[in-house]
Amino acid sequence: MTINTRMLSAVASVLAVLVLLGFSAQHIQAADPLKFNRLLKKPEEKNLPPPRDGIHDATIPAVDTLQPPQPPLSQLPEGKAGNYVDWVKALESGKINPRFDRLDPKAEPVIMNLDIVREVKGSMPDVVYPHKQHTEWLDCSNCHPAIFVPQKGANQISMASILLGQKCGVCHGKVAFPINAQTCRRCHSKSKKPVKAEAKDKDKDKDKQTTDRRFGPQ
Amino acid sequence: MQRRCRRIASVTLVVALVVHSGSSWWSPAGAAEPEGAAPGQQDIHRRRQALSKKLLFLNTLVRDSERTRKIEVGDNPEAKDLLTAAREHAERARSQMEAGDLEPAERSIDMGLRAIGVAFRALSGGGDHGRTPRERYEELGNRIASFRQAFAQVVMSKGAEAAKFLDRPRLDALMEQGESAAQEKRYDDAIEPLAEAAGMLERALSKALEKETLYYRREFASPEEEFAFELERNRNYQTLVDMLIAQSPPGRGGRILLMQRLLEKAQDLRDRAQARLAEGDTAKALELIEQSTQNLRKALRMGGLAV
Repeated sequence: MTINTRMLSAVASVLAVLVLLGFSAQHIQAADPLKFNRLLKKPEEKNLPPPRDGIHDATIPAVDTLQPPQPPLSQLPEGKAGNYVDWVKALESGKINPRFDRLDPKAEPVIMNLDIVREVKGSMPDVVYPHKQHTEWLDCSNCHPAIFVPQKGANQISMASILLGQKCGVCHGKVAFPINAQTCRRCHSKSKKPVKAEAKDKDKDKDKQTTDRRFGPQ
Repeated sequence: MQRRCRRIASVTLVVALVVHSGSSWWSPAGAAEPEGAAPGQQDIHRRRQALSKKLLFLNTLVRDSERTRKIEVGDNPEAKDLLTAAREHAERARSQMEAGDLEPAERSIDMGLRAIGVAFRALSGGGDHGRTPRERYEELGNRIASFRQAFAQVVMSKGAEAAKFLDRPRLDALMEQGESAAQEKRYDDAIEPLAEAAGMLERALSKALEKETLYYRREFASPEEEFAFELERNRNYQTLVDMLIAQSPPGRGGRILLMQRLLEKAQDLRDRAQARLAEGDTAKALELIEQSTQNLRKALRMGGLAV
């Protein structure tokens, strides 16, 4: 009997703590969904249902009628960060077939197969920006010229600006994969190899032409 | 002992249950709920609250939004009529709610929301996110100018081979057509040729640069220029560390203290770097500013941010 009462007491205390924690977490998250530290979300906070996602107002009764994202997203190829969906794979495998123009179902994208490699100072691998994967889903005008001026040396890009939601950060960290320890190498993907090794690489990919463009401090 | 345990258990359970029913106990929505109301009355109360929020949303759209102002000052009669209708629905819904007629009020709110939605679409000509034809025209003009410049650069580096991808006479004709329409303030008519011109340029660039890789090498004209670059990077990271500290969740005091120490160290190194630069010792200045940035990087990693 004594054990039962103690157990009841312990269970009730744990319950109280859990409820209090859940309550406060919900209210902290709902404070500002676009806060800078949104990038630091833990994996267990992924794809939470609308009342707990920190975006929707949990006090509105209808919030429970919205579809929770996890069941449909779990049907798509798995990614390592953000909403844990590899959207490029999802598109390539035909799992999704988004309309290119909201009003015109027959509109076709202008796919640009152009890679831009930006040399990075220091030991981090250089950045590769693949136009192809971006233009399969986005229009040129989504980025040019408002976010990126399509000219060499015209764009000041830094990690800080991206993390503060500018340049690549206009999408990455909001609606595209976020910048964190799991995703560094998705952009910093070209290692600084010695010239010989680089020449070998070029032989491998013969149909790719390369052009050098030099730019100043960015 | 047993009695004490039982008391603790019951008190804790009551606290848990009260907090669990939190939305009504804590939230503003639940705060005004009448005490001891019957279940039916509670439903009505909740419905009234939900409708009040919906009406507030409608009123925000029809009174205070940027797009509403655009309709008011614009020259789209259809959008203006729809805005007037939406405002009438909102006003009707308010009177109906005051009279306690919740169902008709909800219908009025829904009709108002529909009307304002159609008004916004009419304003934007279908899919331009609230931009006026003139804004759309100007945006297309900027886009074309930047792509033209980019294409000219490609032609300069690749020669006639690249130039053939663009039908120049057609582009010039489209531009002329658009510009003359815009001069007569017929922006709706100017948009179509300009959109076609932008599409032509995008396709030409895509073909001219097909399967290419552009390398943007990083080079500095002088050590001073390199120092300016590093100093800028250092200041950017400092901003990030400050933000991380400001937005840290409670209970991370120890970590914040360490981050602050790293900040101080970085500040000291930055000051010494700038002093060395002033003395003309750019090599040492660069070394110190890079060390300072390393400290800021450590602080950022400590806060969970990989840079």
